[in-house]
This record gives sequence, C-alpha cells and structure tokens, in this order.
Amino acid sequence: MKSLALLSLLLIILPAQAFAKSFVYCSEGSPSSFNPQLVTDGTSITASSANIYNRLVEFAPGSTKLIPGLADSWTISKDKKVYIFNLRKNVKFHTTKYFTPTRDLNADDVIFSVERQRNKNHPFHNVSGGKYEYFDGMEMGTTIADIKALDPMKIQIILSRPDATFLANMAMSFMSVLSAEYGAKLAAANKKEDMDKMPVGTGAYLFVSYQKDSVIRYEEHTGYWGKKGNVDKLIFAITPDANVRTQKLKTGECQLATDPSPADIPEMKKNTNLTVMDDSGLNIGFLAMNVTKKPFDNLLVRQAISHALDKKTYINAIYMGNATIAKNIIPPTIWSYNNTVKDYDYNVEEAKALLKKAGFPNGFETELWTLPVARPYNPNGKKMGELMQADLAKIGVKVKLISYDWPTYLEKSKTGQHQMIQMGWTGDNGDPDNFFGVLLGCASVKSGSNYPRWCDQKFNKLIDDAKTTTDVAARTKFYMQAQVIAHDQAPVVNIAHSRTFKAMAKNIKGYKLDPLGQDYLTNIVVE
Amino acid sequence: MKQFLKDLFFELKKNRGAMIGIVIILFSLLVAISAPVIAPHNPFLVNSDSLRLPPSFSAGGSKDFLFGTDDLGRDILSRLIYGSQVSLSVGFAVVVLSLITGTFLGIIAGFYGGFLDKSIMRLTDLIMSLPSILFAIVIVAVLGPGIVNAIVAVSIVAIPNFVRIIRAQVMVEKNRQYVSAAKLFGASNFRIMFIEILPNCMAPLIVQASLGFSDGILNVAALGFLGLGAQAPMSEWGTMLSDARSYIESSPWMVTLPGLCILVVVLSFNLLGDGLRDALDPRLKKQN
Amino acid sequence: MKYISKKLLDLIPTLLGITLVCFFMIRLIPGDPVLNLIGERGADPAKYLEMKKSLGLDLSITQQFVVYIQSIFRGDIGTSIISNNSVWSEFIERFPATLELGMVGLVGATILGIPMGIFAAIKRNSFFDYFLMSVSLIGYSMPIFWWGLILILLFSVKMGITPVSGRINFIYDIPTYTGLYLIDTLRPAVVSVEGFKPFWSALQHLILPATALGTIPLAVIARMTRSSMLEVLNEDYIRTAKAKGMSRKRIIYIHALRNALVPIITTLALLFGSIITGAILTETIFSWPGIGKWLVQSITARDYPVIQGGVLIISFIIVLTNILVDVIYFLLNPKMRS
Repeated sequence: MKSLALLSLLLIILPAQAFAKSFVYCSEGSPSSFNPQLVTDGTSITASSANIYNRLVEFAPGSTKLIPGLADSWTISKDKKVYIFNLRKNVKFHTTKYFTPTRDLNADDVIFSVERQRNKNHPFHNVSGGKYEYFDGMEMGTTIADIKALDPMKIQIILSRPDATFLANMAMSFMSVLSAEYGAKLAAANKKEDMDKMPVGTGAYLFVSYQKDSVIRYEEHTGYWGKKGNVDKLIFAITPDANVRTQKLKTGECQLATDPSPADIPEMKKNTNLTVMDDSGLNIGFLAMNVTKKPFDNLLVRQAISHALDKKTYINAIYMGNATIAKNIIPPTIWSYNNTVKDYDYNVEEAKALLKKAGFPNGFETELWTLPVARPYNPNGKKMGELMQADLAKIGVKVKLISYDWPTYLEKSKTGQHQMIQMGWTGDNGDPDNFFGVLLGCASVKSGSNYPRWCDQKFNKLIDDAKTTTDVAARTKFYMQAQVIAHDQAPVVNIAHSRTFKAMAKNIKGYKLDPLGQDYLTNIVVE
Repeated sequence: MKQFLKDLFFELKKNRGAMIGIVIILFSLLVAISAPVIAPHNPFLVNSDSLRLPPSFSAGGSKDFLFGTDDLGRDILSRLIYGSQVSLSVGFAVVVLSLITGTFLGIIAGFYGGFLDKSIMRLTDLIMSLPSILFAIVIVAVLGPGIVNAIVAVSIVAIPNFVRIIRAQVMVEKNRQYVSAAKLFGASNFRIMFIEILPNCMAPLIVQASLGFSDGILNVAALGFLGLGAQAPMSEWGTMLSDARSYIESSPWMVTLPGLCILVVVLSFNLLGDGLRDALDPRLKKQN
Repeated sequence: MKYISKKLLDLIPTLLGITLVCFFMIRLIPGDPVLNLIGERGADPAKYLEMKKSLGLDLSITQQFVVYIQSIFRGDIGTSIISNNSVWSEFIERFPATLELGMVGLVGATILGIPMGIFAAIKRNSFFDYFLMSVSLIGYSMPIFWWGLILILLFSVKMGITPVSGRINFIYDIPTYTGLYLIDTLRPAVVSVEGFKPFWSALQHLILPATALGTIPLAVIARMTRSSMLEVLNEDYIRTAKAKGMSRKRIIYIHALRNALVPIITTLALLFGSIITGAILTETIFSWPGIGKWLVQSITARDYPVIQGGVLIISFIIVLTNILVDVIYFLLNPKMRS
C-alpha cells in the first residue's frame, strides 16, 4: 500500500520547472580541459572559450564574419605582414572564489597567452602536457615572427610571411586571452596546473565548479564588457546520449539540447513546447582510400568504388535525410565551392566495368574501418559501414568491417595502417584552407590528417599558392581548380554534409546557431 | 544411464514448469534450425525504402514486415529468427567450454586434494571475487570485441561454478566403496576419475549445465549490448537491442522484441534447470 | 575469533592474486594510453616519449609491477592517467552513487521479497504461490539491460513521469556531505532554501534505476524465503508447536521466520556482489554516475591505474562481504560452532 501511495505521489509531482534565469544546457561530454589552448574538441571549446573567454578578434554570432573582440580595432600593413591591435578599455577579468583581479585587461595578458603556446621556454609552456594542437596545427608558431606591446593597450604582431588565414585563426578558440596576473599568482604558489582546471577569463560567464561526467556550473560575470542575456546561473548537464538529451529537454530538466539525435527531430518539431533550429553544418563525412596500399594505388579502382556507393541511401538511413550529398571536400557554404564538378553517380555496371579494366574482374577482398564515435558528419559509422559493405558486395568487393575504440582508431589511421576508412571533418574557422590543407595537403600526410595519404604535386601547389595570396578572387580560382583535380583523382569518396540541430525550450531566446558547431550562450534570454 | 534418463524424464513430466521450458526450448531449436526456410526475408538485406517501419499490426506498418524493420530497413522478424541460431549456439558453446574445463579441474582438485586442490580453488575464488560481467568485460577488452571472444570470456567466468560442484561431489564419492574396489583392482587414477566417479556426479552437473545455458545466453547478450559481443552484420539479440537504444523514442518496437526473445529463452532454460533440480535432488523429492 | 582470523589470513593470497592477474591482463589490452591522451591531431615523438616517461610507462612490465605493489603497500593505489586525480578519490566520489542505488534497490527488494516468499510458502501450491513464483522466475531471468530500457520506455517516454538519467535535476546545487542524495537533500540547510523539491527530484531519478537493479535480487529473495520457510515449516519442532496448539500466526512469525532468516540473510549478503554486476549495466542505461559506469569508461579509455585500482577495491569489498557472511552464519548457527 505504501509503495502505491508513493507512486501516486510521484504521479502528481511532475519534474520541477526551472527557476527564473537559471539555464541548463545539455552538453554531450566532459571537457578535457578548461584551457582552450589545450583542446580541439567542440565539447571542451563550448565549456571554455565560447562562454568564459574572449579573443582579440571574434566570429560574429551565427557566422564566420570577423568582428572586434578584445581588440576594438586593428590595422594591417601594406605587405600584409604587420598587424597592430588596439585593445578595448575597461575589460574586467572574472572575480572568483580562487582569484580576485587587481587590474583590467592589458597587453601583458595577450602576450602571456600567445607566448605560452609559441615560446618553448615560457614558464607555462610545459604545464598540463604542454601540447598546443591547434596552435601548431594552424602553423601559428612559424607564421608569427614576433609579438610585442607597443604600449600597454597596443599589440604588434609581425608575420614571417603573408597569410590569408591569419585573422580568422586569431578568432579561433585557442587564441583566447588568459589572465597574466592569475598566471603570476599561480606560478608563485607553484600551482600552475590550476590555470587549466580553474579558469579565469573575460567572458560573460565565470567558472564555479565542475564534477566530471556530471555537471559544470557557471555564474554570470557582472563586469562583462559586452552585451549579454539575462542568465545568472549557467549549468552544463553532461549527457552523452543524444536521445537522453532529447528526453531531458522534454521533461524540462534542460532548456537546450545540443546535437539531438536526427531520429528524434520529426517528433520534436511537432512538440509545441520546443524550438528546433537547424543549419547546414560546416562539415564533410567521407570514405578515404589509402592510395599507398594496393589496390587503391590504382585510380580505376578508386573510381569504381566511387561509383559503387549509393550515397542517397546513406543520407536517408544514417542521417535521416538531414544531410546533402557531398561531391567536393568542402561544404557548399564555404566560398570557392566548385559547383561545376560532376559527381560520380551511383552506377553498379560502370563500377564493375572500371574494376574489370583495373584488372579485378572478380573484385577483391579488403578492410573498411568504421568510425567508432558519433560525429555530426557521421552519426553512426558502424551502420554506414554495414550499408557500404552491402553496396560493395554488389561489385564483388568483399569488405571486412573493422573498428577500434576511438584512440586506437586514430592511432592506427594516423600512421596509415588502414585500407579504406571512414573519416570526416568539421571546419575550424570557415576558411577553405582549413579543409583542403588539413585533409588533402602533402604536409598532412606526415601529420596524419591526410587519411587517403594522397600527395598530388599539382593539387598541393594550387592550395599552397592560394594560402599565401590574400586576394580572394585569386584564391577562389586556385581552389576551384584544386577541386577538379581532387574529383578526378578520387582519393576519397565524399559522402555527406550533414545539417546540425539544436533543440530548446520555447521560452529560450537569443540563441544563434554557430556554423562552426560551438554553443555560444552569452546572449541567451530566458523569458 | 538409460534408466537414469528414463527416471529423470518421468520426474520431469510431473513438473509443469519444466515441461513448459522444454517445449519453448524445442520450439526455439526448431526455429533456429529452420531459419532459412521460415524467415520471410533475408535478415541482412538492407532496404533503403522501408527504414524503421512499425509492425504490420500498427499504424503505418507494412504487411511485408510483421514486426517492422530496423534502422537499415532490415526485417526484424527475420533477424529475430536468425538471432535464435546465434543465441542457442552461444549458450551451447559456453556450456560445453565451461563444463569441460570446469569438470576437469573440479575432478582433479577433488580427487588429488593437497596443493593442486588449493591452487585450483584459489583460482576459482579469484574469479568469483570479481563481478562476472566486469571480469568478462576485461577479458573481451584484452581479446578484442567479437562473438567468439565474448563466448570465451563468458565461459571463463562460468568455470568456477562447475569446478565447485564437481569437486564437492568428488570428495564425497571418492570415499565410497566402489572407488576403493576399483583401486584394489588396480584401475588407473584416470580411469577412476573419469570412468568410475564422473558418471556419479551427473545429477548436479546436468542441473548446472541447464542453468549455465541461461547464464551464458544472458551474459553474451549483455556484452553484445555493451558493444563488445557480436559484430555487424550478425543478428544477435543483445546487439540488436544496443542498436535500437537510440530509437527508443521514435521506434520503440525495435527495443521491445529482441529483449523479449532473450527473456523467453533464458526463462525456459531456468524453468528446465529448476525442474531438473527438483527431480534430481533427493532431499527435496522426499518433501514432495 | 580464531575462525575469523583464519578467514582474514586466507584473504591475502586471494587479493595478491587479483592484483597480479589484473595488472598483467590490463597490460594486454591493446591501445596506447598515451596516444589516447594526445587526441586527434597526433604528437611529435619527443613529447610522446616524455609523456610516457612521466606516467612510468617506459619501464619494463615487471618493473612497473614492482613499483605498483610498493605503492599499494604505501596506501597509494594509483593516479588516473586521464584526470590526474588519485584513483581513491575518484572512487570515493562515485561510490556513494552506487551505494545509494544499490541500497535502495536491495532494501526495496527485501521489503517486497520476504513477505512474498512467506506468503507463497504459507499458501503453498495455491494460485498465489504459482503466480508469485512464476513472476519471480521471470524476474530472475530478466535481462536487466532490456528491463531498464522498457522501464524508460513506459515511465519516461510514454508517460513522462520519471526522468531518464542522472541523479538529480542540476538546477539544484546540493552540497555533498554523505554523497547520498536522499540524505543530503534533507539537510536543514537545503530544505530551508529549496524546500523538499530537491529530495523529490533525487527520489524521482532513483526510482527507475533502483527498480531495474532490484528486480533480480527481489526474485532471488522471494524464492529463497519461500524455500527456507518451507524447509523450516517441515521441521520437527514446528510440528511439535502445532501439536501443542500454538496459534498459527505465532508459529509462522516467531518460530519459523526466525529460523528461516539465517539463509535469507546469507543470500542478502551474497547479493551484494550481484548488485555490483547489475550496477555496471544499470548505470550504463541510466547514465548513473557511479562506479559501474566509471569502470566501463576507464576500460574504453585505457586508464590502467583506474581499472587496476577500481577492480582491486571492488574485489576487496566483495571478498570482505563474503567473509562477513561466513562470520554471521557462524554466529547465527550454533551447530557450526561446536
């Protein structure tokens, strides 16, 4: 009887409603660090740079357009090699339980933040592993020849060569400005690691507490220099399962769910208490063929595979229709997209003919590695693998599906142990080079992110030329040509550009979808 | 032996639960064997026009797919039918592996005693002091995910049960007269252990084997659910369940059926095991 | 006393064995924990070696084992490679969650299971007996990873009554004292600010996972109670009591139950181990932040020290409970003492 009474009580008391101005965000995982210099994944960036830090230059909300951030203006020299940034005045750092700033933002902070990553002898360089993937990956170390303060509110950066992507790089998460004063205090107390665990920034929210795999709590930064919404308590409910995020949103346990499962979208769109936003994501999911391994060194084989995969099915089954078929390695929303490229159509006969011409009339046996984690560019690698397996069987290619856990998968593929592999990419800064260079450039064969391990001299020269020119028209021309080469040589089968989704409660306003996939919550208004 | 089985069956016939268990087991065996004939579709055939169709008896369902289709448009009924092949052979493999190893270790431990006994019992203590699933997960992590490795892991975890039962029984049996008689006639230890003693340990062994079947099926399905068991495109119930998890909201039928199959098969082996125990345990028999 | 100390001495080789087996088996898991730390973009070889060294992974396996054993004897069971926190502190942080879940599941199962078993025993061979025993056999055969999903489907997705994951609505910031939310949310400091809402939230979150986890113990307890009651009811002294004209109620509740409790208590304590097994699956389904989920995650992340330390602590707890059971059994059962 008692338990029955209890149950009926539970029936009456529905999940508690949110308090005014508290905002719970259902995030997808635990951040690896709160220092944006050390991280590359969207989860950590959202938990750090997007909401508690600022950069000199920032992306305008909802776009990749550059706007002033902590620098309210800047000048660029004629030879495109000298940049001077004028810092914003009266920018306050966070006052937290563990740190009370005594001064406003100045040039020391900017130099501290850049030098920690650039200068191997900097006292903080080796703290927390000392690995600055983005800074190194974007070649900032070799691009920046010198950085110095002209006066306390004026920074000069000299480049070693003109670089068309420099300003966009400056707006990326890893160029967030940390507090030099906080650093000095921690160094004196011999607790340098705290810099990356207990952050102090200039953003709209300040860090309060973090419980791994469970919750992160922030409070509003009352001294914030910019405009912000009305949230005073920001809570990240860490919820790795996409469908659980959806359910939590429905029961009111969170107000915004990041990347809900595509399967749940139609249902959510019908729900009048929810708003669903979507945008074409800045991403590409592809199947790379290792051109250094037989038989994928043979162009005809690669073309045959390109004809054999029925991408339309994948879009329906894996992305639930929430993606567009990809024919180039960059998404169509990026400038310089070459729409005249004609995609390999799904054609089993053609594929068979090509295989025969290549000397494999009866097909061959090979391995296909399936993505072990859900990514926006490929929500279910295993399932896509099963579809590919079925498609390739039709042209006589017997595929063994292989998957490792994520770290092993990366480890083995970076060193080129794979034959065919599912991979993908989400853009970092909206520049075409961030796709072409990283995914198909010769330099990336060595660093590992060129998964087909394809190094084509003609292609590489085009993208190199495009990077050192700042003239957009000229760059566009180079990239257009590069896409034609990439198509003809077929090192990868481009599968899809997926749409990204965010779902939120109806009373949440002021949220803008970020094409780069992060969640900026500064302007959130709870009505 | 023949008489033993006859008696056993006679006892079992009186037990309604055990009979239900046997009927279900025979039925699933029949389904498993005739899968290629009775499955309405190819269980691996991807069907992009009919993704996640609900069962035919509910709105939006197609009459071609009685229990609907999964996220790749494969017929769920056919996958369930083929899944019975996997689950029954998994149960069988686990029982055979753990029974052979466990019996062997149990007999020599009980028969020889001393240091050999001590070390074997330590080993079983060790395995039993870890939660079975956790230990199985670690083993699969070492060997790599896959149905065969999952079977190996689950069998290893199941060995101690057999060792303990056999050892206890052997320790009783080895002091019986027939053993001393055999010794007097100069029978080898091997003969005494496996020809003389073993047949007399059959009763508890049969019970444990039946229960081991259900444990094996359950644990391999659990590993499959955690993504460590059967790999694509094999249709295994636990793996089907784990694939269906993300569609619990939009396509609940994908979740309901595979689990129900696991439950029914596991239940039937438990019913049989219970019945066998009642039939073979003289102490309980007296009470009835 | 002698009995207990002998049992405790027996413990040492078992624990050493577990340490040894765990250590070497975990080293066999393919995948490099250092590369796991480094992430998607790769690392240069010098830095890689440096990191390997700082984690003590550059030593030979035997050397690593010696270092490990030495530190265990110093009371240090290791430091997580991923989070840099000590394994012990990570364990302590998560254990209350599992404890709360397990206790509620087990207590619920006991409260329901014992009366069910007694009832079935008294009404032997009645419809109720068959019904209860069928239900409990179904419960016993339940794949709990499926049962959990079905509970979610029914109560969360379809009816929207209970939350689906986690321990509490994060709107409430409850300071941790015991780590058991049902207790922490009832502290005056919390109640005076938020009222009983946090408590309700914690209870709502607990109800489904505890049900899922408690199902198998419930079935086991009900069956065990029934069979041990039946056994006791058949004993001579009960028959004598009956003959003497003692009331039926008195016989059942005073004499029979008391004697039947011995095996029931033993079963309860032994269920503790299966609770931890159940917790691994239950916590995965309900995203319950306890040690089950923690261990599964550390296995996928190749966090050697956490797996070793975690497995060691858990087996230690289980071995200790088993000894405790032996001791209780020994104390409760006069026959064994002589």
